[in-house]
Parts: sequence; C-alpha cells; structure tokens
Amino acid sequence: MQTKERISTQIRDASEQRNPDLYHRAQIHPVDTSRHPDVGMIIGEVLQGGVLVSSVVILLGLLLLLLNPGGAAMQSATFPHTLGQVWAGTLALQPQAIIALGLLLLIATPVVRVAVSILAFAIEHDYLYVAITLVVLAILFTSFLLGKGGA
Amino acid sequence: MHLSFLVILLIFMGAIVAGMLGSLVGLGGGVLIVPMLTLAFGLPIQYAIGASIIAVIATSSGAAAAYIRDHLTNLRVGMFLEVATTTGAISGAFLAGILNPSLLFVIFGIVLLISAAPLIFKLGEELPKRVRNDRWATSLKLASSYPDEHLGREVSYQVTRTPLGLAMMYVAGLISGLLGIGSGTFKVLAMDTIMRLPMKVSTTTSNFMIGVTAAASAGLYFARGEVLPMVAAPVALGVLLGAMVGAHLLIHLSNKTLRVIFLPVLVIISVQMILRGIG
Repeated sequence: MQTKERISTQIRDASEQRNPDLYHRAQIHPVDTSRHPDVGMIIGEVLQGGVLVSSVVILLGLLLLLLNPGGAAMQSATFPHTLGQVWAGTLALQPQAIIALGLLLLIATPVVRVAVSILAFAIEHDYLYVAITLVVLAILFTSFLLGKGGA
Repeated sequence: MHLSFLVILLIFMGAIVAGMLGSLVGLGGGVLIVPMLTLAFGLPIQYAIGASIIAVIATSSGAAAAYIRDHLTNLRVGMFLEVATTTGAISGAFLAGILNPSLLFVIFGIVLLISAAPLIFKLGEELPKRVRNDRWATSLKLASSYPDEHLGREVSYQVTRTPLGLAMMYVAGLISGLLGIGSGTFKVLAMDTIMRLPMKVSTTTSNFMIGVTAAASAGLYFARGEVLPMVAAPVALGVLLGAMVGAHLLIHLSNKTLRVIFLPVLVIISVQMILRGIG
C-alpha cells in the first residue's frame, strides 16, 4: 500500500513538472479513483438510466393507446394500481398497464440508487454509511408495504 | 375518470411550460403542476398531488446525475439526512389521506408563498466562514470539499448544528409527501441556513435527496390509486422535457429578470390556491 502511494506520488510529481497546467486542472477536478472507484459515476448512471427506461416505457404505452382505435374507451374507471394488476395488464399489452409500469419504474429509480449506494459505501469500507443507507432502504420498503396495507 | 386525448395533450403542453419555468427560476416543476391540474383542469387535489410527485422524481433524478459527476453533491450528508426526509414523506402522505382537501389547498398556497421567498432574499452564504464541525458532523464524517469552477480551486467546508438540520429535514420531507412537491426550498433552508453548507453543495445535495424523498411517498399515492396513469404520464414526460429545454435556455437568459417576472405570477397562484381552499 505504502509503495503504491509512493509511486503514485512520484508519478504525480513528475507529471506536475512536465505539464503543470494539466496537473492543476486535475486538482480542480479531482477524479479520485483511488478512494471512490467511480461510485458517483455508477449512481449517476443508475439515475439517468432509470429515467430513460421509464420514459421509453411510458411513451410506448401512450403510443399503444393512440394506435388502439378503442383506446379512449378502454380508459375504464378502474386503472391498475397494484403490482399484480400492472403485471397482468402489461402481459396482456394493455396501454394503461404499460404506462403504470413505466411510472412504477420511475418510482423505483431512486430506490435502486439507494441500494447501489450500499454497495458503494461497502467498497469504501465505510460501514457506518452502509448501516445508514440500509436504514433509508428499510424506510422506503416500509412505505411500500404501508401503501399495500392501506390500499 | 375519463379524459379525452385533447385534455391529455393539453396537460402535456402545460407540464412542458411548468417544467421550463421551474428550471429557469430554480424552483422545480412540482410547485406549478398541482395548481395547473387543480385550478386549470379541475382535477381533485389528491390526483394532482399523485401526478406531481411522479414528475418530481423524474426531474430530480435527471438533474442529480450531472451534479454528482461534477463532485458538488455531498453523498454522505444526503444519505444521512434522507433518514429524516423519507420518514417525513411517509408522515406527509398519510396526513394527505386524512386531511380535508380544502385544507390541502390552503396549506399549498401558504407553502408556495414561502417557497417564493428565495426569489427575493438570498438564503445562506456562497462560502460560509468560521464554521466548525459539531460532534455529530465529526463522527458522521460530514465535512468535505468540492471543486469550485468559478474560484478555480477546491473549497473545503465543515458542518454544524446537525441535529437541528435533521429535524428541519423531517419537516421538508413531510411537506413534500403532503403536497407532492420537491420542497427544495426547505431542504436548502436546513442545509444552508442551519447546517451552513456552501450554497453550491446544499442546492445540489438537496436535488439529490428530492428523488428518494418523493419515492417514499409516491409508493403510498400509487397504492391508494391516486396516481392516474393518464394524468401522471403526460405530466412526467412534459416536465422532464420542459426542464431540459429550460436548462438549455438558462445559458442564454439572465434568470434575475425572469425571477422579477415570475414572482407576481407565483403570488397570484398562491392566493388562488388559498381562495379555492376557503371558498
């Protein structure tokens, strides 16, 4: 570990002499891969990916509704609002259920972000924050269970 | 509830405008969605809140990714305070199910007025001075640093009054869950004014937390059947699109003039919401 640090210091010093401008710019935007192995990047990608995927699913549902001649009539008073209904409806290619699936994916995006953060803190050996993040995840799951009970 | 395609299209276009205005003045689209759906489209307030909370998740998640990459977000501060905001959000969503809808209109109007305050007064400081870690901040390793592009250097900072900030975050979460908004103003209030984080860190960390906070109450709204797919879908897509357009426009526009124009609009909407609740 010490040798590794010494080598990286040498490399840094050498690069500073060779290209001071680049070195200082790197200081302003620390990549910091040694301590956080692209943790922020992964979290960022989870968030963006989740928004993208759910938007596409919602759009597909809307398009299906538009293409369906009886689409407007199919908007019944009872729309899917349990996981079972959404899943069954999606398999039957019901536009409303597909849209609901997209909305559920959107709700799930921050939850996945929290789950990924647990891994990220574990990689950093930051067990205090592994515990804190687990508490947040537990609260989120409690909220979904509460919703199920109250519906 | 039956909605024609025309109404869905109008909701979509309204959401684009709401998302654009929200991102231009830095309020987030949520605060405009509920008034639009209730006052303009006559939707019952609980369905408006259900659609709005979904839109809040979409915009927050989209923007958060960029801020994390710029190393502005303090992930530890965010994660720790999310314990309070998610708990608050569940309380808020429960409360929304019990409270009289007309009372919700009045509370929304008042909260909207408070949210407008940062448009006039500058809350907190850009770079707080003489801040010392409190005991909580030390054991939770909340102090950190961020690269300030404007100053061209790394800025280190410490964090204070953590318990009070945590309590304020519970309130912020409660308001978010109750009204279906991001309640970014209250989160920034907790981090900026109470815990004295630098402005750039508190605004981006607040945005980072909004999505998780909203997800905690969105599940409840969804299960209660208050997330109407035909309303929430055009709202979420519209706000997302509007926010993206707004972010691009922001480069060319000064948001000071926008704020001056926007402020009276916000006050009028607030008063309208309160009147609807009373009348």
